[in-house]
Amino acid sequence: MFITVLLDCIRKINSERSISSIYHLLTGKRSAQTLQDAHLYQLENYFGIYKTITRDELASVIKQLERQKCIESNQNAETAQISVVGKGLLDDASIFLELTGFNGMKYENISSHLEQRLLLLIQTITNIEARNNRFVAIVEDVGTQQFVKEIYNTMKNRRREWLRGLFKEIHSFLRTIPQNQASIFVDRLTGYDQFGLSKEQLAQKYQVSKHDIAVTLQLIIHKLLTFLLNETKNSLYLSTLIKDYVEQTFITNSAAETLNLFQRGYNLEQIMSIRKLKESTIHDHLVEIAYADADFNIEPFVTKDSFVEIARVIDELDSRKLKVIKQHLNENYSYFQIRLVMAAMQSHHKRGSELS
Amino acid sequence: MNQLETLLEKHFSLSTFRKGQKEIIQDLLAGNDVLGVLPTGSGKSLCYQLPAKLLDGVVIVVSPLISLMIDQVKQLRANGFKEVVALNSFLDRSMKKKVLNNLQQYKLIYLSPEMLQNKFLIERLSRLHVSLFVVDEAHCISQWGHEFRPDYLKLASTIELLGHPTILALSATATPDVQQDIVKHLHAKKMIKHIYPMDRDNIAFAVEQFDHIDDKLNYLVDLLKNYPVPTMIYFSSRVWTEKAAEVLTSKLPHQRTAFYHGGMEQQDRILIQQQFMADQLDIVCCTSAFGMGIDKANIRLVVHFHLPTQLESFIQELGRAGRDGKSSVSLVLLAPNDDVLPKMLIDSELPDPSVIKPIIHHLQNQGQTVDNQVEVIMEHFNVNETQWRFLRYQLEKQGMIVDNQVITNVEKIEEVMKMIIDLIRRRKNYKQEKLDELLEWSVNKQCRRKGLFSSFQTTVGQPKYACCDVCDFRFTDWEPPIERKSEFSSLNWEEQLKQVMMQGD
Ligand SMILES: Nc1ncnc2c1ncn2[C@@H]1O[C@H](COP(=O)(O)OP(=O)(O)O)[C@@H](O)[C@H]1O
Ligand SMILES: [Zn+2]
Repeated sequence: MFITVLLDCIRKINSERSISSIYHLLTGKRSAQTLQDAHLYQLENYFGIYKTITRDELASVIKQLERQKCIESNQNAETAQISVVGKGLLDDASIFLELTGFNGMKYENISSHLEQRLLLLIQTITNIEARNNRFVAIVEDVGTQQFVKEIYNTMKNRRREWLRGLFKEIHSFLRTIPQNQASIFVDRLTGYDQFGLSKEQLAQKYQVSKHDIAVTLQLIIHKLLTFLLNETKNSLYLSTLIKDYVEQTFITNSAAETLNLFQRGYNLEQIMSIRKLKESTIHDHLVEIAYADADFNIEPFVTKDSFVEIARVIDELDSRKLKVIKQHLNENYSYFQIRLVMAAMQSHHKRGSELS
Repeated sequence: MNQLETLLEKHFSLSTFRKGQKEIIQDLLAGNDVLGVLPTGSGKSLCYQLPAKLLDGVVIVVSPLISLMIDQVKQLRANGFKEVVALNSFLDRSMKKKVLNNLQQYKLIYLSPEMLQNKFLIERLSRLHVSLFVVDEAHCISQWGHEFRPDYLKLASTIELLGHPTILALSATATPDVQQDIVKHLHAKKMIKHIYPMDRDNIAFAVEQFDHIDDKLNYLVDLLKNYPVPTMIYFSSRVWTEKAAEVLTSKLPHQRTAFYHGGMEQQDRILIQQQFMADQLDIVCCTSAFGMGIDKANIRLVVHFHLPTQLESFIQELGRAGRDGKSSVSLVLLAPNDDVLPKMLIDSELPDPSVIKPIIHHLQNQGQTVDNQVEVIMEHFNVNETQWRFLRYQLEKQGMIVDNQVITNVEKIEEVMKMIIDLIRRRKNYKQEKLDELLEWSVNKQCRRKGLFSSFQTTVGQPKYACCDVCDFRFTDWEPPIERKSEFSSLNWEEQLKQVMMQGD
């Protein structure tokens, strides 16, 4: 599973970004560059799905892929390209379908909360139901403990009902996902007198790598989120665990400030002087905004006609190398304009596929 | 029933005191400073936890083991003792602020040693009425102890700032020299000493020699096949814990084995620890990161696949066996070149003398605060955190670093350099001697029990079961209680979900 995620990233990036950009993507780094790359290469679904991986771990998996001839990297191993063998692995349709279950950009800020809250809630209710008030919480995060405590206080006299309700909802969710994922999910749960398995133990039991387990657990949680958001009425108990969830719009704070000024009618020069920022920085912000918001009006920077021309060249070349695109446009447009068009195309495309 | 026992029952739901507890608590309540040296697992924490409930004001505990401190706070909270908090550098800023503004609401405050540097915190604490000041792991104050902590030398002045509360110093491993050091550095001349023997009468000792390190694993497989008892196996490297767990799992399919080390995610560490506590695991292959805070009564066998760097740690680790008083064994496995790893460990604890001068020059050239340069120095001169802590402390002590700034007195540099290099040499020698002491013990053909404990106590008690492999112990005679294990679960996910969520049909 992890390997297919990586191969998918490498294929889409196609040597145009470094391996470390994949690291930033998987760990969900909130920088303009990472967000933009995620949009640019259509890797939004993997944003932040593996926050605990280290650079060394990623490097060693990349090496392994190289040894297996799935990828070829350049001399100093900064970038990599997928090979025929690697493409073959991705061709399997069922594997590919699984990957579409990820929705990192949308769920990144809630998924780990949901997981931790659910684990702790089940541990809490079952222990107290078993008359054991003295148990060591498997989740140490104070915020999570607080959240679960609040929920628990509202329902402590209806523990049975809640256990039953949670059980039914989890059960019907698990029936919508592959058997072995359901089984991994259940093995991870901690109840009264039975502790869940660690990631290493799961890896051993299911004969996969620790990384596979880490991303599979995320995948399951993403699927659960999709399930809850679609079936809120049929999952009233579980839905309380995400009651504070609001969909995030993904722009950095600094870009948000620029957007604010822009919407109030300031032009580029004015924003530069108010914010004491370089032009290129404001450009970065505008591109970032165009990726995040399909309704963002880019006409002040690119006319309709120019848009059509640039878009045509991008489509024809099927590359994201700015320099090449610029040359093909006979140097008539700036990098900024090209990036802006790319962003707008992408966010329109994304909205189109969400509506369909 | 005596009055203290009633209070023990009331606050901790425990019916009787263990050896030493009552005596220490009585002395403390009478306002006497106490040095308590009691073996690991004997219940030292209760010696201040009960007073915290009984005394007016707040009890402060300084402890260097942050994970242990967090475990204890969790445990206390789980048991209904809520007015307790741990302050350490891991606490995030907003939490810290919240706690600092409400210090008076706590009865028990745990501090990590580096928090003593925090003038703001100390000032806040000095406004409280501190009834008792506890120094946990007090041997860390001794420069010759195996875990010297420079921050601990600031304890005496902190105690003074807090208006001289009653002091309790606790340790599980303090030789007479170290005990003297503790009394001296805490400026507590009238300290009453409660020293209890370290030896454990229900643990037998054995050492096995092998020609090759792989033979150790084979031996373990055979041994554990015959004795499916709760077992801890100590290794000195993370890689080894994983490798051994893999071998044992495949060769011993009926025992449940896992590994544990400091490189694992926090949640997975908690899960493994709790599984072991709940008898859901039989064997844990671990580094010394495991066990702090482990309080499992029925561990029958503690194996040292690798030895630690000194007797004190060894005693502490094997002491996790047999807390329930039943027959248990400490087993050491030896092979050629076993001393290489601990020697490397010792080397990594102290800086290489050749980097000292360049570091001082670097600091002088930068003209910035020392704090600002820590990362650069660690990266550029390849010194680790322990080495840097040592170096910085020495430079401060010699007046080379004043107020976070390096001074620029050329003559002084040479002098201080010589001093520090000499100190490093002596420290290394000392540590090497400590290691040799342990290695010698392991190959010596004298009673192992006497060999281990004679430097801590004058007499060694009669063993309850067997003594050691030199005297009388053979594994073939060992009859540990073997508890029936729960069967391996072979439920499918739906059945298992029902079980976890208590949905009987
Ligand atoms: N008087 C007592 N009766 C029963 N259990 C006790 C008593 N005192 C301490 N304990 C238990 O013994 C265990 C070890 O105590 P701890 O203070 O952690 O040991 P130490 O710090 O000496 O290693 C704890 O679980 C504690 O609850
Ligand atoms: Zn003996």
